[in-house]
Parts: sequence; C-alpha cells; structure tokens
Amino acid sequence: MSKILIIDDDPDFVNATRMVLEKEGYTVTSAPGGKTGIQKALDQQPDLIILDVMMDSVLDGLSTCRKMHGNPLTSDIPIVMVTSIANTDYAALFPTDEYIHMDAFLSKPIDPGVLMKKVQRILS
Amino acid sequence: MELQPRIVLFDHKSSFIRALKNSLEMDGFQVNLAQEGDGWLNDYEGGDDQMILIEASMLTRLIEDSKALTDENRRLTKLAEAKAQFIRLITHELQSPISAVENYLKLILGGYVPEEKEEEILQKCILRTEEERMLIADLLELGHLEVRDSFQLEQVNLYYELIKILNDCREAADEKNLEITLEADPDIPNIETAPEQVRSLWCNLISNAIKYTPANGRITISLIYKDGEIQGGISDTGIGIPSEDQGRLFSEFFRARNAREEGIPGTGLGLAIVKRILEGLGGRISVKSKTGQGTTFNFWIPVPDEIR
Repeated sequence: MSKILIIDDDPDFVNATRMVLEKEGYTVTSAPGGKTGIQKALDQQPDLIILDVMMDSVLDGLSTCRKMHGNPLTSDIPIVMVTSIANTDYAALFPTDEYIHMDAFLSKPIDPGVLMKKVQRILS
Repeated sequence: MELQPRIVLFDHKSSFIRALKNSLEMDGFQVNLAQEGDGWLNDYEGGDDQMILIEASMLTRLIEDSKALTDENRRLTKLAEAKAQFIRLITHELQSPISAVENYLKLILGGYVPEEKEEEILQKCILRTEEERMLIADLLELGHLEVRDSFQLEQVNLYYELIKILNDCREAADEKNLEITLEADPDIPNIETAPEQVRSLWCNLISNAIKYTPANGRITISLIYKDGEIQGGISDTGIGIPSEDQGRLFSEFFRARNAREEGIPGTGLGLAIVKRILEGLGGRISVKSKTGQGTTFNFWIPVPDEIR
C-alpha cells in the first residue's frame, strides 16, 4: 500500500489526517517541520507528501516544496499543499515570479471525503 | 506677446542659488540675483514682468519639508504593510485551533474514530478550544497595550504585585514540585503605570518559568533597585531556548522549536506582551538561555527622579 508523509507543525492536524489515511489502508509517517520533513522524504521515499504551507516560519512550506523539487531524489514525489489561510490572502504571500510545484491544493479544515478523493486521484 | 516670468533670487553668495540660477537660465528664464538693500528691488513695481521672489532659506526649508514628508510617507507605508502582515498571521493563528476541532468532529461524525478513542479525541478538542480562548485574551491585551490612554495610571509597587502573582501561581508550581526562591527587596520605589500591566508582566514571566521547567526544578526571582533602575530577573532550570530561536523570541506568535515539539501549550504572545509593557515604561528586557539547562530573563525599568 502507498506510503504518505505528512509535514505539519500542528500535531492535531497530523493526527486527524493520519486517522483518515490509515483507515483507508495507507501507511503514514509525519514530520513537524520542513527540515525533518525533507530528511524523511529522502530516507523513506514516500509516494505522496501532504505539506502545510505555514509552519514555524511563514512560508516554511513553500521553501520546503522548492527544496524537494530541486533535489532529483525527491523531485518526483507528488505534493499536496495545505493551508488554513483564505485563498486570496494566501495569494498575496506567494512570490509571483516563481513557479511553485504542487499537485493539489487543500484548505484546512480538511474534509475527509475531499482528502481521499485528491489522494486517490494522484496515486492512481 | 507672451510674458516671460522674470525670476529674482536672493542671496547670490549661496552656491545653491547660483546653481539654481544656472539651471533656470538653461530653461530659458531671465534670472536676476538680488540681495537685501538693492535699491532697484525696493523701487520695483512689477511692470510688465511677472516676478517671483524666492529667498534661499525658504527654498531650503521647502526642500527639507518635502524630504521629511517623503520619509514619513515611506515609514507609514511600511507600518501599514507590517500591520497587514500581522493581521494575516493573526488570522492564521485563530484559524488553526478551530480547524483542528472541526477536523476532529468531522472524523467522529464520519465514523473514522473508533469508539475507544473518542474520549481522547474530544479531550484534544477541548484543549484546542482553550487555546483559542487564551489566544483571544492575549490578542485583546496586546491590542489594549496599543492604546496607552485607556489605562488608569497609579503608583504601583513591583514587589507587592510580585507577591500577589506568586500566591496565584503557587498551586501550579507545587503541582510540579518546583522550588521558588525570592531574592527581592521590598523597599523598591513605585512606578507610575497601570497595575494590570505590572501584573501581566510578572504573570507572563513566572507562568512561563513554571510551564517550561520540568518537575523538581528551581525558579529564582530577583528584584532590586540600583542605579536609577528597577532590575528584575527570573531564572529557571527549564528546557531552555535554542540559541537560533532567541532572536525572534519576543516576536508575536513565535514559539521556540522545543516548546512546540514538546507540545507545551502557548499562544506565542506572552513575551511580545511583556516586551511591549516594558517598552511602554521606557524599559528593556534580555534573555540568556541554554537548552536543557535553563533560561534567565532580566528586565530594567528606569525610575524618574521625581518619583524617587
């Protein structure tokens, strides 16, 4: 069964997402921040990464995403970006001159049905 | 015939005026230099010419004013930007606990939570709603600090307020068997401020020390008056603050990595509040810390002569 890595500094979000994914039979690991997240992505080679945009530093998620995409050992792993900021405010934080690699976008709180649909679509 | 304005500049000794004359002449204006006492100037009636009299000192002042306004405009734009950024941060922080609760409740309703885990999940929900409430309380306090006039100023004694707060915190400290040592001089001068600010100062620093110190640890609180300043210190034998996190420690919503990783609840606003209170009193704060060994906060509040 597919392996999914959740990178998020909110332990409750990790816990809730893990419960949904494990119930559907996925193997789930997690990391509380970008640095450990990248390390785990390299070590465990997950099939999918669920990544929070706003972790301890603003946009930690974006730089994590960029670093993983820039490394050939992790660049092929699909990424689902998660945020709790409203999309318009969120857009203001994005650097406009850069291409952000991501395969899907989810907003918090996550609806279990929506989460599963996106995960299944990417992994199929 | 169209009239060409004739320009008369005072103070031809100023190199600035000479440069201005050259530049105006290049633009095709007729420029005369004049100084106080020039006979022709007093008799001058205007005639067919349009005459603009510019005095050097006035021009310099106009240029300076305009520069000051540009600087001020730049400062205010920056401030507005910082405020907008801060509001985005607040929104994010306020949404996180609510999102977590909503997530969990949806999981329970959706049948993702086995019955034996339901209570544990509901407990987590309660913790997050408590976090939300603390966050709102801290944000209100922070907002209140911005409006200085809203405080009723009184003569406040830091020692007496410290004793009161210590009594309130006693239970939490006993729970973890923490030893609190007081090295405080009761005879320190009063300061003029709002009592709730001094209480908040102590409460935030002491409750932090209790929160981040593992069981059986020690907390030492000092308070003296020296060299025109009240000097306070709070040392603990707690988890400490990683050196790379110390620089941002007093920023709103910032929490040290180890505090978050150990799951110790906090809003990340307590020290921002403390810093603002101290700055409002003309004071300052510093931190010394080593992970695994403990943390010391020192603060200084100047006492004006007339109060002493």
